[in-house]
Amino acid sequence: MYRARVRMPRMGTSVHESTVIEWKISVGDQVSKGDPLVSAESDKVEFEIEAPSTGVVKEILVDPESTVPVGEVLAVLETKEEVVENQTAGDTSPSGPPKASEWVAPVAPNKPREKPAAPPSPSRPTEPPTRIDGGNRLLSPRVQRLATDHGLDIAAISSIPGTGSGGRVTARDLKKFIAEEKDALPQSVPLSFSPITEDKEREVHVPFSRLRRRIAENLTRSVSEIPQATTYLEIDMSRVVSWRDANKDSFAKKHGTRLTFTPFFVLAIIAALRDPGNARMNGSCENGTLTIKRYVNLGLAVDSPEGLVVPVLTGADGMNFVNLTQGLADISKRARGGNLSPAEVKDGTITLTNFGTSGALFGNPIINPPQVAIIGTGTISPRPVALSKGRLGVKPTMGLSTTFDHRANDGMAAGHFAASIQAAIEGLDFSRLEY
Amino acid sequence: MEGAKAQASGIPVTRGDFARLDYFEDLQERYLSIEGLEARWHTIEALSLGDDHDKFMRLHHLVSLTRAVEETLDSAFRSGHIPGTAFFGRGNEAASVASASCLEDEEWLIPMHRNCGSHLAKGHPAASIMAHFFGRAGGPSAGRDGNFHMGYHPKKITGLISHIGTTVPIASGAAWAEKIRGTDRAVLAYIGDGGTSAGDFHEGINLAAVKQLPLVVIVDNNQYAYKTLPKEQFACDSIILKAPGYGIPGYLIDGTNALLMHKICGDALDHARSGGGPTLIESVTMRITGHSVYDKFTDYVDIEMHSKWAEERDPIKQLDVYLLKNKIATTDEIGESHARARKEAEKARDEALKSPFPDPRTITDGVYAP
Amino acid sequence: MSQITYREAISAALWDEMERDENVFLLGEDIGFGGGAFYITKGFQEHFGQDRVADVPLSEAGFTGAAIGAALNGMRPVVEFQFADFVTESFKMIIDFAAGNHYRNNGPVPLVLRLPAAALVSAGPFHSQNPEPWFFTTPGLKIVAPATAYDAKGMLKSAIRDNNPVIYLEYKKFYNYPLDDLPEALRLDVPEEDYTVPLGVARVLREGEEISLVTFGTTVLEALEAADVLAREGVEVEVIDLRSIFPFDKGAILESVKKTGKLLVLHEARKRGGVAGEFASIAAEEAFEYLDAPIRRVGAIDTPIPLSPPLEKAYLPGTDEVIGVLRELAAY
Repeated sequence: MYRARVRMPRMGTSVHESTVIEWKISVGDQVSKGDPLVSAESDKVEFEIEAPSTGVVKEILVDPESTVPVGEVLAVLETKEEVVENQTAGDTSPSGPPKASEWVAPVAPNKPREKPAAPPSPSRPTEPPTRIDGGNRLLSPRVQRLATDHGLDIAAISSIPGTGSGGRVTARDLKKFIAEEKDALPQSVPLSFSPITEDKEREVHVPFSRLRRRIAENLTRSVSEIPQATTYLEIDMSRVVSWRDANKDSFAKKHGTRLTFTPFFVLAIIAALRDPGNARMNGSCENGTLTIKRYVNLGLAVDSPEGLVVPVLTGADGMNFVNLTQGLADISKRARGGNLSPAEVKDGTITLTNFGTSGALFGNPIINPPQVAIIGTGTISPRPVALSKGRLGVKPTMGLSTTFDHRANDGMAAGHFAASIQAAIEGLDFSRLEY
Repeated sequence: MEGAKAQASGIPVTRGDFARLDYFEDLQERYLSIEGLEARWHTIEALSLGDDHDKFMRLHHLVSLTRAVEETLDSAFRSGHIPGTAFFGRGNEAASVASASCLEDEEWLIPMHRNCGSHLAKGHPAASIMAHFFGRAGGPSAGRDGNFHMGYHPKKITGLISHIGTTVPIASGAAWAEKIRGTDRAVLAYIGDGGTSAGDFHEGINLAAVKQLPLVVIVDNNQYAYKTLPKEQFACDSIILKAPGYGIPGYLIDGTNALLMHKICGDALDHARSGGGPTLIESVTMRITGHSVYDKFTDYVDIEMHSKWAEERDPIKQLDVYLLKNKIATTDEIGESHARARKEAEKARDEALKSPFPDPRTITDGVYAP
Repeated sequence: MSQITYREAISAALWDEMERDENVFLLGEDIGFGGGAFYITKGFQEHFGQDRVADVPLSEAGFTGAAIGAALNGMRPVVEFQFADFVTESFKMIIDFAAGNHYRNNGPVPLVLRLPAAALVSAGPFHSQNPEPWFFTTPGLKIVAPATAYDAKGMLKSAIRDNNPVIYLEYKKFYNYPLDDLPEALRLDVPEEDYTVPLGVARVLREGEEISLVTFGTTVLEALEAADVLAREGVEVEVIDLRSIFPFDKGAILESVKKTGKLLVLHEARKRGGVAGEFASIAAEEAFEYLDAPIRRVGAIDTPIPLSPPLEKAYLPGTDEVIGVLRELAAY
């Protein structure tokens, strides 16, 4: 499948722009090579632009009566064959050959329009493009009144997708949004005013299991021996969320593994650790010595039925995205099933824990000794964020809580490490994620 | 027209070009000499008018009152009491009073703006007329209109609009209603010499003639339509010559003669009442005032000739003389009648001035009838 | 109850009112002996006599004036103009005399002027006009425009009983329109017994949530057709027949606009200066905060009415144009 872009041709050496008059097709239409797509006019002549090849109209990008520069993409077709570029009639521009699969249509010039023009007969309705970015932000009086009546300000409704012309938010869109918001209100919790139990037995004694005892010992040791502090950051997850949404289905289909957010966090941690300035955060601290480890065995805190276990994915720094994802999924699954071997819970160099499932934003994760750092991820939820020029937006964000061993490292270093993780997540180069 | 052209070029015009003192003599000669036309000249002897003292004094009073009311209104205008403009019918008092006096109470009158006498004769109180002119709430139009557009429905007098000619079709319709209902009532309407040029005049008279409606139309030929003389208004010798064209009887009368007018109009109305159909009457007078209060008519008339007419053909003076000469009334009676008329006019003015101006809050009332 | 044509409904109303009130009488050209150009008064003169069903000379100003005079003198005349186009002859009598007469305290003028209006097929510039814009701005007049037989009969009765001058627009196109061809919403049963339709009340022909289409007269046909097309595309259009041009049902217009947020006003008369401008402005003034799209109007184009079929078709507002504008509104 190729995407053929239909551009505004140059209808004369001195013509720099032309006006779209009327679309002859709609999004979704099947067209054959040579079918007229749209009529347009320059100040010299009226003309039609034809389909370069057989295909399906995927996008119509310009409204009728719009004047656009020569070369502007007017529509996008999905074609079976790659469409090769053609020179326009009268195109004498010195620019190089357009890239393949971008095509400038040959034109069928009509006679110049006679005056007076007959009123255009509405033969087909033009389908409104439903883009929001740079789209029609006009709010009609009805929409504004509805918004005010429901206590919504402009910012609150800026994220509503508009189905009106040019992406306008219509009254119907707003009504739908208001209804959905109503649905999204939290469920009410029933109140009760009687004692929790009427039983005689009002206290239950639960002795610790072996695992529970081990966890308790480990954490007590950690807290009593290691002076730990936590630094907090808010991370913009919008790009990761978008990419994951777009690709998780095909990933799962191809690799048989669900794509959670965890692999992305691990990638970011490893990327941060590649910066020598963060090396001190990955290793162990004992007897007054910090051992910086130049490999990453990633400990993943997992809730098993018996309690918290931390299986380790050995050599995480050398794994590609697919292997990493599969590896994490594997140890996670086996930890939950209680199928880990003792070797698999040893030798971790840094730990990742997620406490976001229940909605927590930030936390104070406790270091897993003898490691010197632990990274905690909170829930990913839409939050108000500041956009450029003081505007308000809403994006999915996540709290990152990084606890560090203050004997081995200071706040500055920890902060730098956390910021590196943030930068690595927010600036993730998805094009390098082959799967 | 020679006179008009001369006027435009600044050369003084001769008497012969203007409205005529000797209208009838000349017309009679020319009219009778037209072959093939049936001429009806009524030579009315004074005696045939009778000597009903009370009736004649009543007419005298009304004629005098008409003059008094209009003079009072004129001075009220100069005192600033009249918003807008005013039209008066000085010289037409006898014709108006004498004709309208022939109507019964239940019969409709459709007057124009030289017919103040008709209003008074039909029973429209002078105070009401004046309140209307003064734009007061107590007037018949409650300040919604002014000038001579007043009607007075309690006495079956229709209102007037500025478009000339409308009176005749309206009157035809009012007469038509009487015919459909099978009453024995007639309707009296007026139109001016200028108005006979309007299409409405033809359409109205034609309809009345075709339907044989009980209507009398009086053409007040005061020899001026604003500044235009009859020569510019119609090419035939006299308006009354149109009557045979419509198939109806016509009368040409000296409108300054109150008693003559009264007799002829009475006969015409009787003719209509008994199902004889419409009659056209041309009443010849002269307008001895401007077209409106703003019209300085001295720039287009011969003042000397006008004064002469006012002297020799003034309707009120003529009636005074007639009554005295035929010993129908004494000098004292006549003097007293005039004095009474003046007093009545002043009283009416005072009463009218007491009437309040209309309240702007009522401005949207009555656009539609309930 | 029966299904009768628009023309039969008008005849029935006239006959009923003539029987009911002896002051009602009819006048017009060719209506007596000939039964009228459109045969609306066929048989009337034989029954009611020449006085009450009167042929008049060709003199619209004259006989309109006479009708006014008769109305002042207690009658209730119903004037038949042969074509609405000829009402211009009587313009002065209607506007300057009749309309303001009651306001000027000179008595009510209970008068009905029946005007066969609107285009037929190639009737040309002087037999096709829609006169309501010429009269719309004059206080004291009422203007009605029934589009169904039921409304024609009921509104003519109301007009005759009204004490004001009423301009009654009857649509030639509807006179003998085959009942089977009428859309369901217009095919109302007409009672034989006495009933009136109040002036100034609209009728909702079709309910809808998306767009309000306000119209009157001949274009109710185009409106209903276009609404059907839009319904098949999933857009429900509310069609309102105003029935009365003045007084008009402002409440119905505003209520509908507040519901849908989108308004199209449609009439056969020319768009420029047509009464749609008034209704559109009122919606903009009084329902601004309920509007979700610009208000649209559709009317005939800005030329005198041409005769030749392709020209006439291009002149008149057709269903296609209405559909196009409705779609634009839906997509806005």
